Amino acid sequence: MGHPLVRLDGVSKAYGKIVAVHPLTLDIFRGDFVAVLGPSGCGKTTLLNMLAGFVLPDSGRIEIDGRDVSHVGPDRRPTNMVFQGYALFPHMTVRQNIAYGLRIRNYPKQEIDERVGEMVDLVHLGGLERRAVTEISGGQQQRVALARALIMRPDVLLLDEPLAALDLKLRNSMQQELRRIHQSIGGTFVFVTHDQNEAMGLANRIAVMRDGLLVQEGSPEEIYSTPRTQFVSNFIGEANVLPGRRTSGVVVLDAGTAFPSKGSDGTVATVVRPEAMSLTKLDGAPIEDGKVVMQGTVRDAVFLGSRMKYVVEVPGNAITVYTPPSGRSDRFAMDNKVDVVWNMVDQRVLDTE
Amino acid sequence: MTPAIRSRGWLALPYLTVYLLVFVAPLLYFFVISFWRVRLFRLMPDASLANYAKTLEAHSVSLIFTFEIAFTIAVIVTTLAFVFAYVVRFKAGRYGTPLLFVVLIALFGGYLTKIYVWKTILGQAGVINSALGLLGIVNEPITFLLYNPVAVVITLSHYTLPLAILPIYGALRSIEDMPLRAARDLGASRFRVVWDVVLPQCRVGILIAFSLCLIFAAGDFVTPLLIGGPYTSMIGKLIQLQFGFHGDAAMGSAMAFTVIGICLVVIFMVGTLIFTVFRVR
Ligand SMILES: Nc1ncnc2c1ncn2[C@@H]1O[C@H](COP(=O)(O)OP(=O)(O)OP(=O)(O)O)[C@@H](O)[C@H]1O
Ligand SMILES: [Mg+2]
Repeated sequence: MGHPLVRLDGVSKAYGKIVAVHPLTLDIFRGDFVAVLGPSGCGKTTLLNMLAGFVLPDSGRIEIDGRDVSHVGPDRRPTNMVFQGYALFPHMTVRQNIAYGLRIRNYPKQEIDERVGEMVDLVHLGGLERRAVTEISGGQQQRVALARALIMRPDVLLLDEPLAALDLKLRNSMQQELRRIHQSIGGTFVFVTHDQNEAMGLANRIAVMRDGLLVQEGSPEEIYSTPRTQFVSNFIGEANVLPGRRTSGVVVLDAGTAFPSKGSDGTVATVVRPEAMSLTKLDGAPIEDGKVVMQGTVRDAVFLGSRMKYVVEVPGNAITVYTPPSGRSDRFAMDNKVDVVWNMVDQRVLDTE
Repeated sequence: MTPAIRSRGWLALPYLTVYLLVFVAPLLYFFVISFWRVRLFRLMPDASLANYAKTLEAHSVSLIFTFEIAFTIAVIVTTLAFVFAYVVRFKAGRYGTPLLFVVLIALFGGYLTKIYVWKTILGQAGVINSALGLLGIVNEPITFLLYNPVAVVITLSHYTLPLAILPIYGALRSIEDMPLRAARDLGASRFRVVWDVVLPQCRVGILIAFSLCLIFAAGDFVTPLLIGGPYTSMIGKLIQLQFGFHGDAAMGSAMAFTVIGICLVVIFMVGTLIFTVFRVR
């Protein structure tokens, strides 16, 4: 992969007694589309602000393209930001907003015109150049904010919840736009979100944060299929978390089933994604090797078009199972006993203390 | 406009009546008589520009001097007011509100009180002289502090500063923080942010502050009288003499409207300048 473009090394920040970001180490490579994902208040914006230069870290070092920028101000960093809420200049037109950064750097007018033109095409703002930014829609403002940052050709583009203020439909189309733009200019994007779908849909790498800590970092597939903690598994997509106990290499789930699992003795949580489970009626037939079975009662069955969603009650828990849609006749009826089956390779056993 | 709103227009009626009666009517009256003349202490209707001609002829020195002082005050005060309002809005954090409160308290101090405060500070037995005497820097009290144009500038600046801070602060309050950050992010120095983002958005507030100071300083006659000394002949003093001592309301009105006219011209020019210099590029 070569040398990382951005290197955060033990970077931390506290506001008085509140630690917004604990010492955090993260490498970002050229061309990456990184999502920083986490619940509200976990320190995402603080992390992004440290990258942009608005917040000076209490400790650690920030390197961009081999240069230590830890103490360089935001105006002299090779980063540009798309702000939460856009932060457009309300007294300027669309064109003036987009051109601002180049004007500061005293680019010749002809080059400014050219590059503004490119940006306007890239983000599909043609015809709106002379409008006041207060007189365009939210989605269009979003594009202006994006163009205003991208025109600077930053080494790293930072986006703080760029789509949070848009309605669902617009958000989906802007996601596609962002992906297209990232591909067409081949830049390095770091964006912050608390929407896991957005993170999964856009990023090639996800960094999950919680309470100022970087809990896990990896590709979306990795994070989804092998969450390192219960928090990650809950945060990323739906997950069934089954509490249990491991004694000398055997896990016994509270819901009443057992399987072998290496590790130290103690309480564990077994995480299984709903779509990794299936429902059958074994009627006492033996189970195949490498599979886990659990008995339960169907409490809810919903047809969702592309799949069926079942809620199955097991002792002390309710499990969600997604199965491919089936004909009306072979659905599992309400209040019937069923067997929930999954492959052991699809489960994650996490120590919980 | 919806019918509901239109039908409430009458709510403005009392206000409009008072405004017309106590402000517009007297002003119109004085404007009309500025074209009359006074014969044997009686106002005679006329339609001549003689009073205006005489104003420019006999009082041009005083007019120029007045507007030099008023302009100086307006520029100094508007600048200070901007700096103060800027600090309160963007830099002082939670100390901003207390600072603003101090400004409002300063407004309560009466006009004459402030004049006498400066008399006390600058006078022969005043604070500065006592301090200098105590420190043994001077033997004789220094006299050049008071009774000159500089004393007038200081006193009037002190008085008009809160009046100038409020409109500018009002304008700064509606400016959001995030676009300032965005400007920094796009490469603007702190100074460029103020120049490109803050100033263009508070041009009206600045012009209002400037106008208030200019009008107040140009029309004032008490401060020059009490602090300006014999050589500070500002036009306000002379206008007051016309109405009082000379009993020539026609001439006084013409002089007053000349001052108003010059004020409007200066405000228009300064406004044009502000709107050009701090325009959006
Ligand atoms: N300027 C500040 N002064 C004091 N505390 C702050 C400041 N900025 C952030 N914090 C605190 O630091 C923590 C992290 O804040 P941050 O804004 O980074 O969260 P976030 O993950 O961006 O949240 P959100 O998703 O709600 O935007 C929070 O507990 C917050 O209260
Ligand atoms: Mg945030």
